[in-house]
Amino acid sequence: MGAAYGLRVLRRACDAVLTLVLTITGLLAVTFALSSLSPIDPAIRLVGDHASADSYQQARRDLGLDQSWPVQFERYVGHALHGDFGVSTSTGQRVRDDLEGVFPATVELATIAMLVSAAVGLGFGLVGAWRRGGLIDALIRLLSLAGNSVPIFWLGLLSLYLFYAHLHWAAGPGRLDDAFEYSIDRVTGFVLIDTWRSGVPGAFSNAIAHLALPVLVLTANTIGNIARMTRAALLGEIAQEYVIVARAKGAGEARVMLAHILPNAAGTVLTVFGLSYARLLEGAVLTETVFAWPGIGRYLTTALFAADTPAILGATLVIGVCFVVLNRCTDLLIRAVDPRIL
Amino acid sequence: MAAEVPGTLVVAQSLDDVVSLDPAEGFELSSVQAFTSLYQRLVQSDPDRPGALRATLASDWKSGADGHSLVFTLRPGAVFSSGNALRPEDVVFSLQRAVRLNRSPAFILNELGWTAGNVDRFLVRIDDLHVGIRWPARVGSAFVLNVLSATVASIVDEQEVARHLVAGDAGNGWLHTHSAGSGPFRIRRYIPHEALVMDANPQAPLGAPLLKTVVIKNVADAASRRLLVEVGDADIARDLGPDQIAALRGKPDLQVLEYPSASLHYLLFNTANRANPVLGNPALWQAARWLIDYQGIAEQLLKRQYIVHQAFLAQGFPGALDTTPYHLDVAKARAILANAGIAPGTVIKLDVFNQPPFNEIAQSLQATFSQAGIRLQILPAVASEVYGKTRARTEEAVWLYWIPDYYDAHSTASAFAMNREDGTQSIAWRAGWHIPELSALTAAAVEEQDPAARAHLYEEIQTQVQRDSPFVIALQERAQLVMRNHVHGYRQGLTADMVYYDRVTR
Amino acid sequence: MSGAPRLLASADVRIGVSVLGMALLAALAAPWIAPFDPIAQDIGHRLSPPTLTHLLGTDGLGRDILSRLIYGTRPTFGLIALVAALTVPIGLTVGIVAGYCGGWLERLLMGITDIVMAFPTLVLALAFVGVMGPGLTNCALALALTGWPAYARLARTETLHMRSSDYLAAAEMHGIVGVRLLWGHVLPSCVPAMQIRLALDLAAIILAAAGLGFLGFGISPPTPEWGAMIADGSKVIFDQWWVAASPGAAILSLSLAFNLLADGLRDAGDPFHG
Repeated sequence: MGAAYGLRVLRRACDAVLTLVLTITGLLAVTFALSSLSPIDPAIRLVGDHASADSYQQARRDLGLDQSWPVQFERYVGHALHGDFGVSTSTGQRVRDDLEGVFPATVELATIAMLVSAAVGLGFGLVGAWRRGGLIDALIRLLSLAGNSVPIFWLGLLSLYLFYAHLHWAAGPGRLDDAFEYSIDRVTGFVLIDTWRSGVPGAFSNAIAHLALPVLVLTANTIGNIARMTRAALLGEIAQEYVIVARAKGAGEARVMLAHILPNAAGTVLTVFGLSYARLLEGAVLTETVFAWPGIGRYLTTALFAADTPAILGATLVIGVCFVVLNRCTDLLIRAVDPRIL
Repeated sequence: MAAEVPGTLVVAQSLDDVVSLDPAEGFELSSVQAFTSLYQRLVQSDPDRPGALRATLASDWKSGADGHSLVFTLRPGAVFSSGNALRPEDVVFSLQRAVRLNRSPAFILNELGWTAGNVDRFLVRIDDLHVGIRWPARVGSAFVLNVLSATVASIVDEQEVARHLVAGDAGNGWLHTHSAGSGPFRIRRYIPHEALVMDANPQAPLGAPLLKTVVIKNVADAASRRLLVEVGDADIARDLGPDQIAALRGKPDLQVLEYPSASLHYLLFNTANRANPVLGNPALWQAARWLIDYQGIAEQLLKRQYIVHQAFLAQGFPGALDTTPYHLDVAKARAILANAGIAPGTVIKLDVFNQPPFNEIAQSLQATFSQAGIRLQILPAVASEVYGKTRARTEEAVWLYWIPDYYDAHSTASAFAMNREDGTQSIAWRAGWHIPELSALTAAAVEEQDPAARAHLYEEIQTQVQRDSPFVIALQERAQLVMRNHVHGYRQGLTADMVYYDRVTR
Repeated sequence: MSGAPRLLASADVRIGVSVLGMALLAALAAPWIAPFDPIAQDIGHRLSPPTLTHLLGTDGLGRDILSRLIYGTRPTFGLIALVAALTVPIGLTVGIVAGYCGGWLERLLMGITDIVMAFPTLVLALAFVGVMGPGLTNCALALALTGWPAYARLARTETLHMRSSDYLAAAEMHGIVGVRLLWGHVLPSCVPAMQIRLALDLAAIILAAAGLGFLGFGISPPTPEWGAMIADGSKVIFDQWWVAASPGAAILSLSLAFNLLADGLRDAGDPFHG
């Protein structure tokens, strides 16, 4: 019994790893194809339109563009396996260093937005399911739906205008005021941690002030799904037998909700959390543009416009891995929490 | 409002175009702008007297008798920001590496006939204070001085760079993100696509700057830049749209500054495009000159961010032709087209950059051209894509802008009025315009030593281009920026690199 | 209650359908309803605020915003129709075939589905449009490229459910096999989940297309398209807010309508599902 079980676990682990590898390779191949097919010529982007034909050819050689595609791809994968992701043509730095700089910025933003969305979304879903059909339910649903349906760049600009320009409640674009930006050591890349550790007065609260608006905008967009799915899952559970039994036994509404229904709905809820987090990590490209947030979404867009293949591949790799890993973790979590699924 | 740091100037602009801060490599608008603050050349444009050169790292120079050489006397006591003294070796090193690295701006030095193979023959250290420069190309010394005032000829601190060399890259890797110059500022930190932080260099020849720090922040979105300067988190905002600037005029804390700029907008027809033969018909080019709503675009659409200018040397450039014989006249255009037998309903594809103000200008063109029966199909695309098409000569019509590469008429003349038919991709070549006599005239102009005669030649060349070419030069940019009132002493010149922070105080 | 009556009883569905209906009507009747020609420029009256002549004001080139808004429904509907026509058939086919055939084919198809699902949507759409050029068809293709996996997954789940049920076994015993079986029996069971998913997706696609238009990859000017209109309006948003406000509100309404529709369908359908 033990051996068979162990073998199954091992087999599942191998499956997972194989899927991961295949997915990443597939993603890289498609991205590489698209990037290579792009009519944007990275050599022109690099040397500019006025450069001599000689400089242009030299740039093409330096970028390895004179090789055939399979050779280029093979070279890339070979280097990547050694941790060398090449040099970005638009920043001139190693892609690896670039990513180390931009990835924490997006992770920090996405994580905080996720935590706030999860808390508020869960709350909305709970209240909505509890007071089903009432005015509060309708209001909550409308608000969260609206948040989900609004173009995020529009919301971002409007909130910048209202809360930053008019009311001065929140700070402006960027992660920190210039007074702090260049005097804080970037140790972890997470601005909250770095400002806390630095001990510079006012830096930490400034970081929060800058985080406020982008988090608000991202949250508004994400709450909708979470609230809706939570509510649906809870409603699905409410109609089940064990709830009737619990109520018959005299348990109060709150207890029924929190101790019985929520754990069983956890499976669906966690799936939504996982999916929403993955989507937030996808770079929140437009949000990062409006708020001048130096994250991986903006890095990727800049790279796309410059046909900067090493940067595109590196950023896609990071995002893709996160996606897949997150999905896997969500799956595992669901299995752990919900005993009905095997 | 954000915390203010005394002595620090914050500039909000887009830094996304920067490829490298090595003066031998960087050639983008934001890069060359930075070079003026970080590096110095032997001679530079005088910020207070446009068109004149000011001795900077050279204190004097003498022309050689053969007309193909110059001897420069270096400024005594000049030091780099590292403390190293300026030596002739630095001059030789800087110019040689720029030619040998052969990156984007190298073509400027190639105009002197310098190549990677021969450049060491033409740069000579004469003694501790003198350096000799020779050139094989048939160009005059006035031209050479102008070339040496370009940012690619920035003098780099050889000894400092030697400490950061990596196998044969002449310091290019390190200079990507660090500076080793003698300019009024030096790089404290450069984070690509985020910010450039420059500290004052108190030892700068020609005087220390008045500010302690300049922070150039990358804010990609114009609306955000406008907000930053309005709220006070930025002291200067660049590249705002015409409507945003109009809205900010009259705000109590802000001033709108306008500087003439050498950036020209023009329409180009690719006469070599076989797929659409109407493009090769000079009547089309003639008609097009009467089909652009110059005034409407400059005054109303782009709210005076542009002026009407119809010759290839920008107003303010020595020798510029300021006559504007063309205006919107649909009836005239229709007559020209009818006479030439160009039927109404002709379709022409127009490539434009998919960013402001190009898409607005394109749509205005679409409206006016359609009144004469020409249907313009607008194809917006990213800049490098559009340039790629012109290099491959697959475009039909393009709306482009031109900025001179260095402060000499030849830079623009060799583009618009010269087609050497040898593969050199000048603008005339990209339009497939065959002009052997005009090219010869342009070549004679750059060789001419007498300034008055030279100016006269360029006037003649401009007139011909204005009258006969497949280009319609239409607008000249007026650079506008918004500055908070407490900022003083800012100066800006005609070309992209002429941005001066050294006299700024706040 | 069953089917349509139950659906229409839901307030969500009613609101969603009416908004969509109005938008569709606007798209079809645009030449008759719109007060002005959407591409007629009037530079003398650019950026004028809402007045009685121009109910929603004019944009940067003096074009009437209300007319552009009305005409803008056309590319929007064209786009979502195209995307739906691409993603749903491909996704359902892949999912049903995978679920029915099982074995290595299922693993292969589901593997591909997983891989495509791992692609970041907007980014890949950007890359695709960057390669193929801007335009309505390319936008639609770009968004469809990453949209079909969801349908494949749900179709496969449905098919697996049915495989283990008696319903299919009974049909097979009657001699209904192969494509007829899949088309006539398996496919219909996918429809409820597919409808909800589609409504949700279309809400997201409208936003994604607006995003692409905002970044400059939408339809060529001067055809009015809401995303591009917001891009134009965002430059002057702080002074002439109406230029970006109305297309933003239009996008919001349409997307909201689809979301409401999806919600209503889900509530009206089997609440234990999906």
